[in-house]
Amino acid sequence: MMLILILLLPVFSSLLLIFMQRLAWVKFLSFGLSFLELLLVSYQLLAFQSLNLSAFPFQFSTHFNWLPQYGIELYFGLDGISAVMILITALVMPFIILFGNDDVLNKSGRFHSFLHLTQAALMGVFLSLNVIVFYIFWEITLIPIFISMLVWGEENKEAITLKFFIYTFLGSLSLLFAFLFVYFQTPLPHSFNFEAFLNADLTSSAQSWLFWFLFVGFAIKIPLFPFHSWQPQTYTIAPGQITMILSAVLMKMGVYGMLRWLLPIVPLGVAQWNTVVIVLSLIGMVYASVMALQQKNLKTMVAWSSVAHGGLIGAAIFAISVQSVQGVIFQSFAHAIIISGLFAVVIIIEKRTGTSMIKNLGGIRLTAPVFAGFFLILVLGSIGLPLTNGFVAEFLMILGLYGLNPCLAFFGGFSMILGAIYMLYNYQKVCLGNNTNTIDFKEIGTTEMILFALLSFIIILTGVLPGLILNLSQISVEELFSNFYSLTN
Amino acid sequence: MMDLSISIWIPLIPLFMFLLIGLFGHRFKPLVSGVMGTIGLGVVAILSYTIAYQYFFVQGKVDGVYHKIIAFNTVWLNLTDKLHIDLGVLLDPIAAMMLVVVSTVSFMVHLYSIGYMHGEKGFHRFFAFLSLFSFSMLGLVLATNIFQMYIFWELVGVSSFLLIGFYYTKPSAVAASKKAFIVTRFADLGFLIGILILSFITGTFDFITLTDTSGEAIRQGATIGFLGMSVMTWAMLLIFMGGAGKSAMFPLHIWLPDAMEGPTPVSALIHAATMVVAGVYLVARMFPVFHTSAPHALEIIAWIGGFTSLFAAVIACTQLDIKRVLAFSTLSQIGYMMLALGVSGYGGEEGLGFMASNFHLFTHAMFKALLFLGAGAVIHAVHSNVMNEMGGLRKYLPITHITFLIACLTIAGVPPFSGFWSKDEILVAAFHFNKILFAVEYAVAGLTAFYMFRLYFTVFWGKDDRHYHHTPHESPLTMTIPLMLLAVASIFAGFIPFTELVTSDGAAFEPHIDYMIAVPSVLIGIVGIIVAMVMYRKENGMPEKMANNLKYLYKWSFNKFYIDEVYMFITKKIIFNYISRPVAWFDRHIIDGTMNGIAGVTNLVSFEIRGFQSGQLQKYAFVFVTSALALVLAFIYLWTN
Repeated sequence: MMLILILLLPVFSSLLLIFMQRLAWVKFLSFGLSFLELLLVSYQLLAFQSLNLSAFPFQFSTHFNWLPQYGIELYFGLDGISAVMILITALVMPFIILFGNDDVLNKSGRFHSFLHLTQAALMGVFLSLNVIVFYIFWEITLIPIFISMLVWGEENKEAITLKFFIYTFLGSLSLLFAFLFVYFQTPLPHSFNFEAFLNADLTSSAQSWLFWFLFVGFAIKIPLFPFHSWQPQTYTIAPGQITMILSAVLMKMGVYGMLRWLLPIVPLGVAQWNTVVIVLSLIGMVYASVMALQQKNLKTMVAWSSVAHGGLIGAAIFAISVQSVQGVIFQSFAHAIIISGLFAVVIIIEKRTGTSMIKNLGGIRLTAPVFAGFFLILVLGSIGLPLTNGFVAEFLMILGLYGLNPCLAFFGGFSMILGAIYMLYNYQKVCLGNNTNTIDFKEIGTTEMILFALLSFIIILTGVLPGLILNLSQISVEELFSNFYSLTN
Repeated sequence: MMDLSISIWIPLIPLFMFLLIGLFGHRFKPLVSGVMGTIGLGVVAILSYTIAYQYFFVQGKVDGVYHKIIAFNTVWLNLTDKLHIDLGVLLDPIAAMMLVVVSTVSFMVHLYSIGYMHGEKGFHRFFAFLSLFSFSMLGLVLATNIFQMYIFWELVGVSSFLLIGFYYTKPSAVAASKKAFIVTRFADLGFLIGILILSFITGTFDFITLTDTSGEAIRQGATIGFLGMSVMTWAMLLIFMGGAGKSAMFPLHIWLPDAMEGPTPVSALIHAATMVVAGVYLVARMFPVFHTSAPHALEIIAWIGGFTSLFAAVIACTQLDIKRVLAFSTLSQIGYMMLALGVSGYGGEEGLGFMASNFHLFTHAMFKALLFLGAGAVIHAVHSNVMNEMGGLRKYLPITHITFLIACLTIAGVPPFSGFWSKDEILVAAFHFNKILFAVEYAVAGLTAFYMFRLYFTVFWGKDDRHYHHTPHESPLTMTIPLMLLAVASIFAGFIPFTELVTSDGAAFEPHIDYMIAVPSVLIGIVGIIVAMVMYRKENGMPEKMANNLKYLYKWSFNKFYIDEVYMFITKKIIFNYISRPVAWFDRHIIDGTMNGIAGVTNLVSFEIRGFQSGQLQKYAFVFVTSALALVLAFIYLWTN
């Protein structure tokens, strides 16, 4: 029942907040509710960890009938993979709310309502085990995002929002088509439940083309090359907090979708196409790194860095090994923390100086050393320095790629160098040197300092003790692959 | 018997100091941070000496052979049932020796920095970073497995990055720090891939299992070929690539001269005595593996080391910045150490090169730290790095002068100073390996004596009547005490019996001096000194004449053989113009263009077919029925297939 509570609390928060318009109340309430959600999730995860996990893949599962004649039911459950995902969703939310502390948007109850609605839909995506319910939540996540972008976005928002909409809509259609096809192959009576999908009778040729329908649908969300062209523009014009939630959590929907609804359902398709996808993803990684190096806008640069990380994630998912997928899940966590910190840095710089153009910035460290210090920790995490969580993630993914083919590992390892180049280059331009434009850049306040300190603490804590996250998902990933190998061999 | 597990505190104390000074340093008076850091390192030094003493003279030796001792171990990350990454403390002769080197030099540099950095903005930040570096370097030295070494290897790189860029408002310092980080990280990718290959072949990261010459692991993979060499050779070469990056071997040396933009104590600690010899330490650590399963890799190392030592020595002869002369001298000396490892055999006298390399690492750390700290005292006094703006300083800086002279004599290989003993052993080892390399090393010995005394005479003699803005004055005691202590170490370190303590297989062997090699090498050194004295003792126009006669050689040497320009050309011109820009164009026009094109076509189609929306019900019904039929047909087709 806790799962239902986790799902309903943000819905309730959203409904409550939409009627609140008074500034002081809204912030307090919004943060308090998101914190309550975090407590609920933490409590649930502690319970999850103390269970005997090898018994059955889904814990705390709950069923409610909805349309039983079509095999649609409200079916929720938790395994190690979704456990990490709901942790991410619950953990970054309070940060996102507080980082917009002195933003005008924060006065708006509607905006907070949208944030909580997005969280509710995300929880639904990560907990649903019936594909129709999954799909409904998948679509709902977009509604508050679109509205926020249209209402509060920056210049040229209509065109870019439309592009984003068309992309994701096409992806969703492709998913829906594939899901419907699989539904008709499930054993009688047909069902949309996860277990039924696992037992669907799919020939290898059907899996072969189904793979691409599912892959494209999920790849657009991450995004993987060459389906990425909506992302940098969208991240740039969306309101800062929306960008944070897009990059920290919405991107992980694609990762989660592949792990839940692609690898186990069409294993033969995966075995057939994984090399193609890996090469494509790695090309995308190098490509995005090169693009990141070119950018003139700090926000767009960070957006491209996210595409680059997505490229390695995409490759590692299809490396088909326990280590690489563990790396993917760990990176989902690490990247969520680091990228929300980086976007928070961008938002603060933008708010203080009125610009995010790199050439107008510089010398921030002179007047705001603490801020620059936290920025550096985030940069080092992003480029995978040992003892930050970014390192463990990249290492595990590269290790998995090595198991498949050493050359791929070498290629994948380039992310470590390229990342260092574009990140340090831009860090230097923004924070170091001696720029008179930023001479009145004030040091960040206490709230932000605490937030950044907490983020840095999480980055280093999970970098030193990666088992905290890895142990959550270990058994589920092993189970995923034992099924996978028995189906492909 | 003492419990060796207290050695875990050796890296932990600096880590604690880093956190303390880094988080709360700005609340104290600057001096407090400096003193705290120095006391911390003092404790570390005492602990290190105790541990080294315990290891060498009480617990390490079993039946006349030094064994590796695991003093502390914990599992960090389980990868598979068999493969796991540990963190711990490993003690063996080279680790114990490096403990002494790192903690001594680090302590001296801390003490020295209290005086040198006095009044600088960011004083506490400087000491926080120094502690961070000490933590990382000590963690690297004590690593029980190659993966732990890699972790601390990267952390050392970051500390170096932070300290080179200490003067972050200075564009050249910022650029240098970035360059150092990126070049070494490039090399570290090779290192990481090498580790992966090695672990996949042998199934372990653990140093003891890997380097056990009678064990299984060391013999794996030597027979699997890939592109003409065994896989093991590839793995070891890639691992060496990491070492070459940190130790600035040609062609990955370009970051080290620029790294001199950092404060001088940093150059002494990181870029002369400790971090840059990490590559040598890595090769020494993996030496049994190199020797048993990748002898070709070892041969390549010898040649790279030999070439770098000559290349850097030639450049050092023409540089004008005193820190850069010392930087190229460091390159050259590390080349010596690499060469010695490359030519070494395993066990007993065969392992002479191994012993000589570690011996030279030890003595070099002492005298090169002394040289840098002396240079720092000079810079502190005259506020310039450039040799041409100095002269006659022996009158103003007597202690610096004497200690600097001792260091110069040591590096020039004049007996009985320590440099003579260690360098001589390297020459002997090279002589038995290859006569060309041996000849190169002779030439380098002469060049070394020449450029060091060129520096010495120009700075302390030369233009005796030069006028300075302020009269230069001798540095405070916190700076001169480390100079004097290091001078003592430079003089006497040569008498440490390395053949008994640090050998390739842990067993002692008898040293003997080969006069046929030792005497000419001393003579060559003295010739170098005399040439430098004639040219630079007094101003006489000879250097300019010489430069004119050797016009091209001088120009190429002065411009460091244009290696930086080659890199610039590749990164800026080729990668930026021919890769980066086309990619940007491709993204805008092809990828985004295609997607926009699809949207455009949709738009066009909808424009063309808007006639369907006529409001006539019959038409709608017709379209609806035909479309539904088409869909059903499509589904039936897919089903039957």
